[in-house]
Amino acid sequence: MTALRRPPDPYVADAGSVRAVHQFLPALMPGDACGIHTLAAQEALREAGFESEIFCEAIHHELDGKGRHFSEFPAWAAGSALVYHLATGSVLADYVNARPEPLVVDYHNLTPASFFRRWDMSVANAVSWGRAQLSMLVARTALGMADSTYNELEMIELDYRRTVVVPILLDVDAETVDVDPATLARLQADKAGGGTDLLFVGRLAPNKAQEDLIKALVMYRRAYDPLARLRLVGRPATDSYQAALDGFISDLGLDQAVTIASGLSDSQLAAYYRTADVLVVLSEHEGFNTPLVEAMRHRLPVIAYASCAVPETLGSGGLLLPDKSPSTVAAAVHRVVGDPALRDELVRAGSDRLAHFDLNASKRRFVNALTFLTGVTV
Amino acid sequence: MAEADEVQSLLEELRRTVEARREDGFYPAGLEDDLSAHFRRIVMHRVAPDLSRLDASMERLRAVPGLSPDRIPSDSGVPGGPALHRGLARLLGRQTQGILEQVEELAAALRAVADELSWAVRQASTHVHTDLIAQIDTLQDRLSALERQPAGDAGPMALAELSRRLEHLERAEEARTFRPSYSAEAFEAAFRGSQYDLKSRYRDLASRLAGCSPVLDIGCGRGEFMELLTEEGVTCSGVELDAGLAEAGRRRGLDISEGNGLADLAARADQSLGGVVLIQVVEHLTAPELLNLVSLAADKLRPGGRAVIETVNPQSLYVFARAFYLDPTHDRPVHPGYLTFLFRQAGFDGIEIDWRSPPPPDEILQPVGEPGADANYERLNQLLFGPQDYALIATR
Repeated sequence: MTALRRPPDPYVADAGSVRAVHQFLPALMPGDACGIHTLAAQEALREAGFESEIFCEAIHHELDGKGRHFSEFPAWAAGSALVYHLATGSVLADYVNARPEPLVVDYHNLTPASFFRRWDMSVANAVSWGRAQLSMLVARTALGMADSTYNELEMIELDYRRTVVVPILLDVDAETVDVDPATLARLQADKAGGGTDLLFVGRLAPNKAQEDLIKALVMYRRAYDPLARLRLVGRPATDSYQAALDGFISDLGLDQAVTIASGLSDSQLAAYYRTADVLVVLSEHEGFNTPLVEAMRHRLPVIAYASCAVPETLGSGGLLLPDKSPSTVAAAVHRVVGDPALRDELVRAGSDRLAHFDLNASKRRFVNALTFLTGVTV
Repeated sequence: MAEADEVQSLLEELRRTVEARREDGFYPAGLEDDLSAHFRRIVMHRVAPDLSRLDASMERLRAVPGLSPDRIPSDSGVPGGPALHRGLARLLGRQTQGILEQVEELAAALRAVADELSWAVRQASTHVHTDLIAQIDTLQDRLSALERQPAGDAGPMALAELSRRLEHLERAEEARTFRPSYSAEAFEAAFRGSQYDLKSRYRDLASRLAGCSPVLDIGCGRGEFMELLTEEGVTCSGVELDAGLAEAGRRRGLDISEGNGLADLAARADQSLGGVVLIQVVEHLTAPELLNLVSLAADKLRPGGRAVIETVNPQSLYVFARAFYLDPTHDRPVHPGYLTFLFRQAGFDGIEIDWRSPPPPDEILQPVGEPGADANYERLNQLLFGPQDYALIATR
């Protein structure tokens, strides 16, 4: 048996020898939490005096110039540390694994492949690949970074020796929100005819269990508000799951009541948050769930099923349900929407919780997590 | 929601609300289950295309009547028209019939193709179903479990290594527990010579243990060497693995127990023996057993006690052509240099090698009277026809 190649341990440079921190992520996309986080991290690193570039496999045209193809990364980058953002399988993982520089893996969660196998083997294989790469990088990684304790525990389970939680870097300042007036006007016109608006934001994916939201809507319309609507905002993760949701909606005669919107700009999305009455999250699996924080930012009350990282992200900033039977969810929506005092309390609790995700504080945590490599504290 | 109590009471209230709505008839019985079941049906039928339209088309195809000239209309509004049509039909009847037959032939072939295609589509759509997906799920789960193993913990590899070692151990154990169908006595009689032959062969070696009582003879066989020792006035006992040989020895009044000689030696008190003898035994031992034997001998022999080890001489190639591989229980020959080294390491001194059993003179190369050639023959004789056995005699 050949000896296993194991890099020196710990795989770190001398503290203070790192002058540049470059980030690698598979795809830089607008509106994607991972991309937003990476751009904010770049800003934080540059503010702290580091040289910092973003290297990707693919860059959306709207973000041209924000990142470079990883083949442009120099063959010799002494004095650099690398941050790899892992949320799917990618050749970039193999690339950073083979690099000599100290490596930080920032883990943004992988949905278990079992959620996708029935729907789309290619998606299932991509997340399985990512999980194998998360294991592969253990021996090579100086620091495992996670955006929730839930994700950190997965890293610890895989034997990452040094780990830290840094919340996803998000602008949570309610004052800076830009709302698209046209979308706002259209949604407000719908609302003028009556009916409660339930909102869910996130990819159309089996782990997000949008079918459970539809079931809850059925119960809510029967028992409390026959005019209620459900707005699902998000790109489909797989066509087959979207087709099943479409079939379900149309079989239940809810074509008018359930709308699916995808490809929204930030300001259009803001209009959805502004006009909704409640954000309802019934996901089976979440590694962080940014929309929970976005809802707090937009002063929208949150009702969420307590699974995986959802309780951790939500904290006491919303109503957590221990079960998500459609009738229970419907009753919860009715209670929150129909009781202004409770609604206000939830919104206030959300605003309090928001302080935890303060962008400047998170940026400092990000930079300071690297102090053992860089010697720099901010 | 800061207060846990508040949340609990709110959840309790939600439960009561749900119950009340149910009782008020807002939710028909089983509605929630029906919703879930309906979505599951959508999921399950996702891979099966809707075949109802295909079925309807096939039905229509089957209902189409066969082709016939009678179904070609011949009526006409023009006066005399029908007669003209009939006349034309009579004139062209044969040609029309010929064309119809060809079209009918083509139509029948196409119907058969459509039937086959319809059957094939239905097969695919009914078989690519949940059982297959469930199997893939199971395999993928096992794969994920393997992938989730931490790097560096080479689980599957360790398993393969373990199983390789286990197989090796099983093979070794099989070889160790070799139980021939013939008796050891028959083997000894066939290949080691008569008891008289043996005793004459070893008499000189037995004399080297005079005054060394008590002596333990490990692997004593029928006890010929013990008889020689007794004749020298040496008290001795023997251990023999083979029950038949041990019993044969006991019948001759010798103190022979049946069992493992190394275990017997280990059980003796330190410095309780004057001699240990192993005649043609160490070539049956594994390397660790040999090490163990030498250190046990060092412990159990009193100062001045002697170990006598006789075995085949691997320095003589003649041995391998004649004696060594005759016995399938021979594990490995022991080199005299190595055996000397072991006893010296164990603290014995006065180590002596006694070369024994030269090959019969008529088998060795004879000098031809030419000095150069004879010198070569001599060297070849040493290599090929060296003594077949040697005895190591070591004093504690």
